[in-house]
Amino acid sequence: MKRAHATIGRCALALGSAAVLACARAPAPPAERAWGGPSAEPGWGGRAVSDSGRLVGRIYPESGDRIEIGRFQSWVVELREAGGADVIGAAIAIAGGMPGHGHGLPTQPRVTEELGGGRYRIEGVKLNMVGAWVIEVFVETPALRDRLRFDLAVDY
Amino acid sequence: MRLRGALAAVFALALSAAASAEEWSERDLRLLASLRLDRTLPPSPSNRVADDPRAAALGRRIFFDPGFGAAGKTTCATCHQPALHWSDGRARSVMPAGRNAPSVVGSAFGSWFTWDGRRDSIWAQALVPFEAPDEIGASRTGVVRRIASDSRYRADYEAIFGPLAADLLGPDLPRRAGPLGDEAARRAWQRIPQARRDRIDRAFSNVGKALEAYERTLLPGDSRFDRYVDALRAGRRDAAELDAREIAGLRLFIDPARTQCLQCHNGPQLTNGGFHNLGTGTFDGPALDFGRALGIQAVLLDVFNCAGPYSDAQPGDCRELRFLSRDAHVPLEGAFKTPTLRDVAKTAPYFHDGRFATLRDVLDYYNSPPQNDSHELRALGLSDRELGDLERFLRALSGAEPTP
Repeated sequence: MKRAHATIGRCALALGSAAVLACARAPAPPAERAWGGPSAEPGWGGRAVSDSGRLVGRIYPESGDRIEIGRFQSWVVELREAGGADVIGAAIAIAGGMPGHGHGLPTQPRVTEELGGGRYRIEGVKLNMVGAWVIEVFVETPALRDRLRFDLAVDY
Repeated sequence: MRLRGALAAVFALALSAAASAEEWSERDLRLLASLRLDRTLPPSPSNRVADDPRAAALGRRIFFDPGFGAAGKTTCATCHQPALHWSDGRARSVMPAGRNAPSVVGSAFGSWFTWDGRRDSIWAQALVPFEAPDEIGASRTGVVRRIASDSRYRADYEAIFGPLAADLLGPDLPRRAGPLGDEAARRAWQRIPQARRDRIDRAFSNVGKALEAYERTLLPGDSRFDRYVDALRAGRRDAAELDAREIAGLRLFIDPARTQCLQCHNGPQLTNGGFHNLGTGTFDGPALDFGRALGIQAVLLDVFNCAGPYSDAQPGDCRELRFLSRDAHVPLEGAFKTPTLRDVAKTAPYFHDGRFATLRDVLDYYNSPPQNDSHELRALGLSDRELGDLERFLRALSGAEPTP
C-alpha cells in the first residue's frame, strides 16, 4: 500500500496532473491470489484524478487487498492535492453503482472517520456481484468542491 | 481398419470426457469455489438466543403447533411444509394479493426477509404471520397467553428468557389484542397501558427469537454440483458428479457473455441477497405489489427491527439498517429479493407471485423478457437445447433435506 501511495505522490510532484492520470492507470503487477472468492489486487483501478484535476485519490479495502462480494467491508479513501498535500477536514459523500447494469449501490456507504494523512474510513460497502463498479467520491472543504470517479473492475 | 476406427472412437470419447474437466481455467475454478455451499452460520446480533439449542427446541414446538391460530389449524408449517422443501407448492399462499411462500431452508444466510425485505431478521419476520388475519390469525396477547398458560411452554420459555412478567400470567390479559389485528383487537390494545404493552411485546418478540433459533437449524445439504466442485479442487480430472449436459448448463450459468445468472445468483447460497427488478412488479389491480420500494419503508418503521427496543444488538451491529440505501428510487419499484437456487427444483412455482409453474417457464422468461427498459434483464437468445442444459444444471443443485 505504502509503495503504491508513494508512487502516486512522485508522479504528481514530478510530472503534473496529466502524467498522474497515466500513472494511475498503469497496470499493477499481478499478485498471488488465494483460491476462494472474488478478489482484487492493489492497482485494480482504485485510483482516480478529480474532475478539476486538483485532487488525486486512491480507494482500497481497509484490511487485505480483496474486495469481498456479499459481505460488509470497510474501505479507505486517500485524498491528496496534486501538489502532494493531504486533503484534511473534508466533508465526503459516496455514491456509485454499475452503469452497465442500470443499478446503484446496494447499500449506502458513508465516511465514518477521518484517519489522518488525507485518509478517510468508508463503512457500509457491500457489493453484490463482480463486474464493473463505479464509486463516486464527492469532496468538499472550505477551499474546494470536487468529485473523483473510481472505476473498479472486480473479478473472481 | 475397423479396429483402428473403433480405437479412434474410444480415444475421442475418452478425450472429450477428460476435456470437460480440464477446460476449467484458474479463474473458473476460483469462481466455482465461491459457489460451493458453506454452512457456516452468520451471527444474528439482534437475537442472543439464536444459537441456543433450548430456544431451537422451543421454536420447533411453536413452528408446528396449531394451537396459536384462531381456527386452530394454521401453523408456520402450513406454508413451510417439510415435505415440500419447507414451501407450500401454491402460487400464492394467500389470495389474491399474497405472495409465494419461500422455503425457510437456509434462511439463516439472509439479511432481509419476505420478498420485499420488510423485515431484517428471521425472528422479526416470524412474528408477522401470527397477526395476519389470513395466516395464523392469532393476536399479540393471544400468543403470549398461550405461552403463559401452557405449563410446558412457560417452563421452557422461562428457562431461556427468564420469568414472564406477573401481569402477563393472569386471566385479565385480553384474549385478543394487538396493534395489527381487527378493529376490536386494536381497540383492546389501545386500552392496555404502555408499560404493559411493552412487556407483551418483549414476550412476543422472544417467541420470534425461539422460532429463529429453530429455523437456523434448517440448512441445505451438499448437492451434486458441490461434490463436482470438490472433485475439481482435489485435482480430479475425471469428475463425474455432473454429466455432460449439466456441465454445459454450468458453463452457461457462469458465462457473462451468454447469461446474466451470476449477477444475482452468486456466492455459496447462489443468491446475492439483493433486490432486483425483473419487470414483474404489479402497479394496479387487486394484486398491487411495489416490492422493495415499500419494503424499505416498512423495515424502517418496524418496532422489531435490529435497531429497535426488542433487539439484542449492540450499537453498530445493525449494519444492514445503518447502511440501508433508503432511496426508494424507480428501479426498486417492482424489485424483489433474489431467492437461493439451492434445491430450486423442489420449490415450484416460482417468483414472488408464483407466476411461473416450472423451471423451464422461468428460463423462457429470462431468455425473452418483455421488450422494454423498465427492468434489468436483456434477451439472451439461448437455444432450446441450451435452455435444457441450464435446467439440468439447476436440477443438480438439490441436496439432502434437513430433519424437521
